[in-house]
Amino acid sequence: MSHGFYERLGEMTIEIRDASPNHCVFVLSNVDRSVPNALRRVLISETPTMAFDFVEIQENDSVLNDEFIAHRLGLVPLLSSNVSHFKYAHECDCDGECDKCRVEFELNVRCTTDEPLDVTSSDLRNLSAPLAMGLTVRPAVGRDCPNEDEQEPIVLCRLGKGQSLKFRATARKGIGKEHAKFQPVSVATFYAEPVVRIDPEIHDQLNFEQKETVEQSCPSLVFKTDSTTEMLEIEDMDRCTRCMECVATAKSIDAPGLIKID
Amino acid sequence: MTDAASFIIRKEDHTLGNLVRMKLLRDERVIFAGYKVPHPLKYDLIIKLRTTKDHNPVDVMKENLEDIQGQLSKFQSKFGEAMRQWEMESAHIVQSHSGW
Repeated sequence: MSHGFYERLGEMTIEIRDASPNHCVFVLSNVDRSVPNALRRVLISETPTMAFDFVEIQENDSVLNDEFIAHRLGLVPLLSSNVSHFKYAHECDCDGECDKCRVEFELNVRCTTDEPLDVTSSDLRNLSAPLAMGLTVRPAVGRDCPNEDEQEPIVLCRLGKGQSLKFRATARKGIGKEHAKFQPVSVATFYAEPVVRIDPEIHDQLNFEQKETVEQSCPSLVFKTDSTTEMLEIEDMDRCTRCMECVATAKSIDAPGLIKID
Repeated sequence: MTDAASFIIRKEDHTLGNLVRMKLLRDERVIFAGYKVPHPLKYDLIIKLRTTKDHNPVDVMKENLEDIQGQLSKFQSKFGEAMRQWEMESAHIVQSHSGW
């Protein structure tokens, strides 16, 4: 069906290099660069998540004003692996209050001690019924800590003695294009791994000193020279940063075209 | 016989435009393929396509769009496979260490 030439290079392959609950690195081969780029763009701006979208403040004696706190709430990341169970609010045929498109939270904190009190994401209480399979939407806590003791809840504001904060917040489904708070990723990038090639004909015309010069010109130690065989070889192609120093060095010793980097 | 067409796609951006444009350029029947987003604040996309005289640009576009869909669903299934493979391998490594 395809008439293009990329398909003749081979089948698309995927190799996972690393995967953990919050991080994934994989190598995608034999695809045009527009494919991983489109994936990257979709990951950032079109993958749905849950985030607070409507806040009704009932009491606020804190030093932060209402909209400030509401803004911070919107940016609180909510664990949303079950987001596909929810409908977008504009698609739902309810009249505003339903479990299929919204999740309600409340918070009610008063500082009674002399010491200032941190109001955190742990103080948020989910009022909606949990979905089937016991999945609930809840604020993500802390950084990449699998260890529960090390997790840090997100501080929303600080209260002094006698101050209180009370509100209801509604979370709904959205995408990054609508508001950055709906972005599920902090980073999504890709780069094309360089393919370094040594031209065998030009290589054979050089003496060992010249080969060593090329080897040493590389700041990332991509090349190595073998003193027994007097050959210039590639030690590790993945270290290449495309600085092109080797190409420039090859040119300066009158051997242009010795190294090719794609 | 028309050999050129402009497609206006609404509510899309470079995510789709670049993907389709690059795919069209890899098709031997395509003489010209380009895309632009006329205004960054509006979500509209124009893809301009010109094919050789014996081919209809609408058919060429359709075929390439179907190809892209196929390629992407292949991606999805291959990714799933690769993740299962990874999980199996990590479990295997953990198991073999605990055997010591």
